[in-house]
Amino acid sequence: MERYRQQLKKGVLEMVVLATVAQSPSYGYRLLGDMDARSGGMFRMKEGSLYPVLYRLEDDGMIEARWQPGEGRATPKKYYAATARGAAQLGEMKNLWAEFSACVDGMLARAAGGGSEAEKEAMA
Amino acid sequence: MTKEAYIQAILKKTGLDRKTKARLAADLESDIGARLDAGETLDAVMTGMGSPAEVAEGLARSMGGATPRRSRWRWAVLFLAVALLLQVLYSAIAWCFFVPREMAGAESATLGIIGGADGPTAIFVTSVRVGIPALAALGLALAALAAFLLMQWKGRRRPVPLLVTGAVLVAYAAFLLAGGLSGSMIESTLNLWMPLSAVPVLLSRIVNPAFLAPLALGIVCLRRGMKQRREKADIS
Repeated sequence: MERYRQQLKKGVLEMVVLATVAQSPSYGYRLLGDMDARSGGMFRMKEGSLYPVLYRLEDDGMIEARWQPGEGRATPKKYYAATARGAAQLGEMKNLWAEFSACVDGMLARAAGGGSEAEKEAMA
Repeated sequence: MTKEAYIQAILKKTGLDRKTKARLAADLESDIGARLDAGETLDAVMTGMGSPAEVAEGLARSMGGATPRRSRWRWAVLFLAVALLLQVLYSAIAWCFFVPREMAGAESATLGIIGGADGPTAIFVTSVRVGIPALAALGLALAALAAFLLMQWKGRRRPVPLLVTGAVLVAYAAFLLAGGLSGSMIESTLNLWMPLSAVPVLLSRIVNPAFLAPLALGIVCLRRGMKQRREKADIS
């Protein structure tokens, strides 16, 4: 089951990271904490998995990075923020996800119910 | 271990290109700083993020390329290369300083071979007089060095050493082949009266580990180097 969990996570990771960054600009460590907390532990990950996703999004022009000085004695942080293109893409991704999840839900519901009468006749 | 040393250890183990390393260094610097600001100790940070090898492996795997794990046999191959090079060096020194000039020509071949079973001195002379075994050892040493380089450079995007090594090895193999064709070989090849006499000699040159090993490794190095150059260009 763990393999399926990993595969599903992998498929939506870019969308989830983009959505989290779009909500408020953030740096890697805080992003990890936010994603962990908001997903109830489902998206608990390490830096080694997060950075490549951030770089892909940045290379695609969906997010941009900038350094911000820390408050007081805090160290400077590298903040990532969604670009206009990223925000637009996120909207499209959400639509796609709604369509995708409705489709999968429907298929699973049909499989659980044993299929429609017409399908059963076709199988027979 | 300091923060800087930890970051450097991660970057070194990723085997990624310089541009990506610079990007990673910035993020690691920022996030380790953030963890320290949040009150974590450096030990806790390293435990949380993982050992440099773990972090590097995760990064390399996700970034589609570098596989930092390298074969442990590469050290055995390097040892072999050094041993063969020492053999070549020994032959060269012995040839320069210990073989009498009057024996350096064709006579010494006879002397060396006849005396081979008679005692240490004669065996020594046999081993140093023959240029071909030294050349063969040099070819095998170069091939072993190339094999080490291929193992060491596995998954990295630094094509230049591989391309240089490949070019040197292919040139060396070409030199060996040309050496086989020089002198009497060329004459006999050009001699229309006995055109086939060169074939067995040429075949014996080609079907020879001292020729085939550097040639094959050279071609592999060149191909791997060109592949790495393409990957590097794709990323940048």
